[in-house]
Amino acid sequence: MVMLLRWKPAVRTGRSLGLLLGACLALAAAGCLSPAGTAQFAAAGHDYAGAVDSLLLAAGRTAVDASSERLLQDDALANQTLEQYQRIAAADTRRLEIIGRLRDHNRLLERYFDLLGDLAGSPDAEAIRDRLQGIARTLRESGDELGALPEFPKTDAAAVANAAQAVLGARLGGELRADAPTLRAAFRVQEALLRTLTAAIRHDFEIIREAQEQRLVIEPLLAPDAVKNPNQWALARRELLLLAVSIRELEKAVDLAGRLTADFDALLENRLNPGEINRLKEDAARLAAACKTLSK
Amino acid sequence: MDGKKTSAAAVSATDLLSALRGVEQRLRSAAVQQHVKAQADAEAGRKFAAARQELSALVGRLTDAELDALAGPAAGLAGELAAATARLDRQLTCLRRVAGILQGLDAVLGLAARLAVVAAA
Repeated sequence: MVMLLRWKPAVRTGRSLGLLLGACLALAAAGCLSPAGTAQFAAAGHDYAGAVDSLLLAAGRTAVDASSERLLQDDALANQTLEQYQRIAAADTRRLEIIGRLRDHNRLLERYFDLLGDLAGSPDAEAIRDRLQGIARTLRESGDELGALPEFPKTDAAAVANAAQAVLGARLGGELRADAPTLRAAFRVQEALLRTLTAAIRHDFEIIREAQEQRLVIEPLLAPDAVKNPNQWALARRELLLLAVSIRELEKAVDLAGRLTADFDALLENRLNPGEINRLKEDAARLAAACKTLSK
Repeated sequence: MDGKKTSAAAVSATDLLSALRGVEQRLRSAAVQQHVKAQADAEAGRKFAAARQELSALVGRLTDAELDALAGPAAGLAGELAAATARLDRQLTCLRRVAGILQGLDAVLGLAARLAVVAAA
């Protein structure tokens, strides 16, 4: 009897752990999210935000390049004044300021995705799972050695791991559901932003392509003398043609924000499709690559 | 009614910008540039370049307005996004604390179990 009394703390601890596990599993039932799915979504969001940043940089660059080509075209018809140049330079600066503000917003979104990914794939979550499993093992081994004690709980390691995931999943679910209105509003802004940026870049690119093709490719070719630097000429021609390919790649990216929103909704309803997330990541990577070509 | 008017106005602003971009692209095409350049009348060339520059400036201002219209709501969301980010940060800190507490509990429990086994022997 005295010996049994000595066991009370261990028995109580075991019961408490059982209660803790029960509470965790109850939380899981109350709308937790898969940490793995959330981590995948966060990674796709990170890639998406990175691609949009590249798009914003490309938009600034093509805007300035298009202005330079316009100035050269106008100067070929009538000598430009300092006032004309300054007016165009001021307009370019204004465009770059607006793009800078949009980049700030995009960086906030990227930071959110990064933290969400940290939380979903946190090594601390792994540590919690390992600790809980360690505690369960300690209790089980003690129980095995003290098999005579009927009240000692036989804690299941798999249940402990599930409970640890459930705690994290419930935290993620609670957090993302609380943030959903803000994120959806941010995604709507992003959808409109992609459309606007793509249209602006396409237009600026057309101005650049037409002017540069004439200035760097056609005029030297049609001149009575042979092309002075054939390698440079061929390079300029190739770059113009490759830019056209990159522009077509941008067109495909217009729906990225809409797909991110759809994946977010799917995540909240625990029906996230890993294949779709992978495609989103691939398309974001393609967009970033196309923007890098445009920004060269 | 007002909503319909606003929507119609927004559509026509986008359409207007799209149409003006089309006009600018044609006026800046190689064919038009070569044609004006070949004209003997220098004053006509200067006027054409100035008018075309005005059109380009208008296209630029309308594009700025479109981007500005998006930067406004984006800035409005900045506070909420920052708050959401801070909450995630707190969750991470909390997770770290729980891991620390459990580490202590694991050690204490292990010791208690060993003592119990010794006492039972």
